Amino acid sequence: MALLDLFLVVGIIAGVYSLLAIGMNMHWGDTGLLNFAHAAFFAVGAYTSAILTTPTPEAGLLAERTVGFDLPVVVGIVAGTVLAAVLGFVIATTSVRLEGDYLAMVTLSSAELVRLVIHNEAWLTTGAQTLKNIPRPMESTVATLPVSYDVFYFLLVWALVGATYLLFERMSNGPFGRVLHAIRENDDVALALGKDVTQFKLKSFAIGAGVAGLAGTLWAHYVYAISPVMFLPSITFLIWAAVIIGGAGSYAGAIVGAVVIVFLRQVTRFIPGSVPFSDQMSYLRLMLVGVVLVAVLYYRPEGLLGNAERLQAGTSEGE
Amino acid sequence: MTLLSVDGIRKTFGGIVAVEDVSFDVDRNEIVGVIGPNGAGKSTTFRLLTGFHTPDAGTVEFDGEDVTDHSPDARARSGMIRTFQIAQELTGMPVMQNMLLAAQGHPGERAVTSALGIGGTSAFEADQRDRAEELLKLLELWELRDEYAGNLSGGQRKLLELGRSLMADPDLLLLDEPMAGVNPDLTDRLLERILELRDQRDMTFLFVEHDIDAVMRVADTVVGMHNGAVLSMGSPEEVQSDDRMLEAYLGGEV
Ligand SMILES: Nc1ncnc2c1ncn2[C@@H]1O[C@H](COP(=O)(O)OP(=O)(O)OP(=O)(O)O)[C@@H](O)[C@H]1O
Ligand SMILES: [Mg+2]
Repeated sequence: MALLDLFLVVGIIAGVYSLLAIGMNMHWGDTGLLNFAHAAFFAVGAYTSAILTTPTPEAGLLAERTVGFDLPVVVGIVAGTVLAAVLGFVIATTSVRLEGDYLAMVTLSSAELVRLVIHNEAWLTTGAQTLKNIPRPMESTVATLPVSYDVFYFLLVWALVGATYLLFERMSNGPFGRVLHAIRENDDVALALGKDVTQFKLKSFAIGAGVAGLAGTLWAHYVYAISPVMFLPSITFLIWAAVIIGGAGSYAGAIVGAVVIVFLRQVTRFIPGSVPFSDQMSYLRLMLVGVVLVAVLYYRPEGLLGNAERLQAGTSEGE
Repeated sequence: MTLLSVDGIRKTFGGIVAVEDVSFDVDRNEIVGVIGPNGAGKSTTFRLLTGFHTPDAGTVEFDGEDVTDHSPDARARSGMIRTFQIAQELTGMPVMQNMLLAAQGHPGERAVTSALGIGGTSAFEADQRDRAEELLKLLELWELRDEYAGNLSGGQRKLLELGRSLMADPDLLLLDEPMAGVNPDLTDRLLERILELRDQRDMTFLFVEHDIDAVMRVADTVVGMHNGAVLSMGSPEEVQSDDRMLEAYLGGEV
């Protein structure tokens, strides 16, 4: 039983990471856009939904927060998704016209800016403290059922992963994705064929950021309580690792990569404190992901489910 | 009737004057060949016409509209499609997908219609596949339709690029050395096809070509360039017999 509970918890986290990886795959895998702000989109989704669905804290309590809206969870989830998408759009607008490296730098600094805002605007976010009592969707209804809440949430998260996967697969394999793939390879060709490259990049960036926001809302409503330390840049790194391990350009790969990463991270949590270097465990755990990443890149550069043939064709010279 | 009007365009790179005061008109339905030795400024002129470079001076008018400030994609959408001298097919995309990418006004290129397959996406896509099939057969690439474009030979890549630009069904097609590396038999058939398209689809062509025979066969007008400037302009015979062009090719000072 305990093992099943553990499986559900890890499964829910893996589902949330899968959504993050799907978003990143739209950016990098499909469009070739360098996004280092994924943790920020994740955070914006989480905080937006948390703020909208919690009541205004009573004055005099420890919490410094002075606003709260007490809206239904569904509203929070939709708003968190949309706001993350809008933020993605705005960030991309500043730099998507320029060379790829500028977008990388702008996303990197925007992510830090978002983190600072969350940290400093305590009236809205409770600042560095924990924003608590985030409601769980349908909690009282599920309580009457013979299954635990984790079973319900696991199914909810993975149903959303499944639906998102299907939509993104269709986008990627449809005419929209074809233009994104053209942009990934060669902006000039897309331009010469009349595609509004900037517009497509903005859409790609907003859509991918939106899914990261969705992941954030699901995270917030599962864990009850969120704080800025949950949204460190290392999340962005982990999601990059997931996409590359799974195979950039493949949505199934993004999900597999996310599951692998979450599994690696969670399993190593249970290493007992008595082993050598255990006090440096959090760094070692991050390093382990790096080691797996390097191993995959070495033995299978296209990633677990990536398309080797496509990469190969890209490097041959013709004639 | 004038379709493209180029007036006094100029482009410098650092100290190099790549294009100097180039002016010419292209009439609707006309086939204009551009010739000139290496480095004459032909490709740079193409980039200026299609918006990939902004001219230092001068204007480009297309279909009665001043497009000098328009972006390359906006010009393409208004009916002006170019190919690249060094074929720029998308190597990581199958031949068929390269062709379909060029379809104009595809309803499925919006994210929502693509995700949900609505708005006539599949019907439009099916139509485009038929068009692509016809062109790929003409270009002898049909058997290779599912091959990644990166696996094609150099000549096949030029053909794919030509096919892809035809998929866009442009009013004006600008071809930068479309026949380079293509075998003579196929070159002949492609030239015939260009004449056909001009008559049937009302297309206009501007093409750079080093194969003088090909230019002489299909061009109505020839623009001879040298050192970034237009040296000679007129019927193929006039330009061919222009002594200044001969000197330019022989490397003499003009
Ligand atoms: N981006 C650039 N930067 C610097 N110089 C350039 C650039 N593009 C072209 N040039 C120079 O401009 C001149 C004209 O080049 P262009 O490519 O237009 O010649 P071309 O007539 O197409 O030659 P070819 O027949 O060899 O293709 C050359 O001297 C070239 O070196
Ligand atoms: Mg050239």
